[in-house]
Amino acid sequence: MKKRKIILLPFLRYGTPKAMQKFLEDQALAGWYPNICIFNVFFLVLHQNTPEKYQYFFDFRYLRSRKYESLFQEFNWEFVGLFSNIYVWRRISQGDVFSPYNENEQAAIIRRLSILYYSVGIPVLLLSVLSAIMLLQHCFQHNWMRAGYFLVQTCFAVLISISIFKNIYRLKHA
Amino acid sequence: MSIVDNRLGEEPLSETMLYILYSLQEMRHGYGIMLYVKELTHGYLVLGAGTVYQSLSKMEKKGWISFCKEADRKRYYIITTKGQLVLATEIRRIQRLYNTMKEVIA
Repeated sequence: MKKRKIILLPFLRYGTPKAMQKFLEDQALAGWYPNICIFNVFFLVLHQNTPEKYQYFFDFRYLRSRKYESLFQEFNWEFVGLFSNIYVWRRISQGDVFSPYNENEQAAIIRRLSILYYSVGIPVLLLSVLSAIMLLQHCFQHNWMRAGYFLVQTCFAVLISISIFKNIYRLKHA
Repeated sequence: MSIVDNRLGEEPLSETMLYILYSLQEMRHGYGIMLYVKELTHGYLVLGAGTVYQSLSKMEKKGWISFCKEADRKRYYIITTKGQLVLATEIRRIQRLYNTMKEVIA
C-alpha cells in the first residue's frame, strides 16, 4: 500500500493560502498529512495516517516569535511546520471554519501576501521580457543554440509570472 | 476637549481591544481572555488566536498592559495604570455616544 505521495510545485498549483488550506483539509480527510519544510517550494511530501477532519491555517509573518507560537498553541492550534516565514497550523475541525483573525486583520494579511507575491512576480516578469528580447536578438543573428536557450528561459519565466499573477488575482478576489 | 485629546493621542479603541483591555483588569493569559470575552458577550464575540496576539502585542507596546509571568507555557498579562486610564476614557466616550444617540432617536 502506498505510504507517501509527492505533489510537485504545490505553491504554484495551490498558490493562495485558502487554496492550500482547502487542499490539505481534503487530503487530511483521506488520511494524507504534509511534511512542511523549505523544499516545499519544489515539492510537498504527504504521508499516510488515520483520516481526520482538520482545519489548516497558513499565516505569513515577517518575523519568528515565540510569543506568537505559544499563543496559537494555547488556542489548541497544532504547529505543523514553518516554510519561508509561513506558519502552518492545524486543529481538529469542530464543524465550523474559524479564522484566528478578524476581518480587518485578514485584509492586512492579504495585503502583506500581495506585497510578497509582487516582489517575486515583478522580477520574474522583467526576466521574461529580457529573455524575450535576447531570444529575438539571437534569432536575428541566426545563433540558434543561444536562441533555443533563451526560448526555454522565456517560456519558464512567462509560465511562472502567469502563475504568480494568477495567484495575486485569486488572493484579492477569493 | 476633543476626542483625540481625550484619548491620549489615540484613535477610539476597536471593540476587540476594548474587551481585551477590560478583561485584563484581572491577570489572564491569551486563551483565558478569549473565554472571558466569550462569556461576557454571551458568545457574540469569539476571539481568535491571531487577533488576541496582535492586540496584546499592540497594547504591550503602548504600555497599556504588562507581562506578569509565564506558567505552563502560558503568558499572563495585566492592565497597567495607563491602560486603566485609557479604558476609563473609552468607556466614558461610549457612554457619551450612547446618550447622544438615545436623545437623537427619542
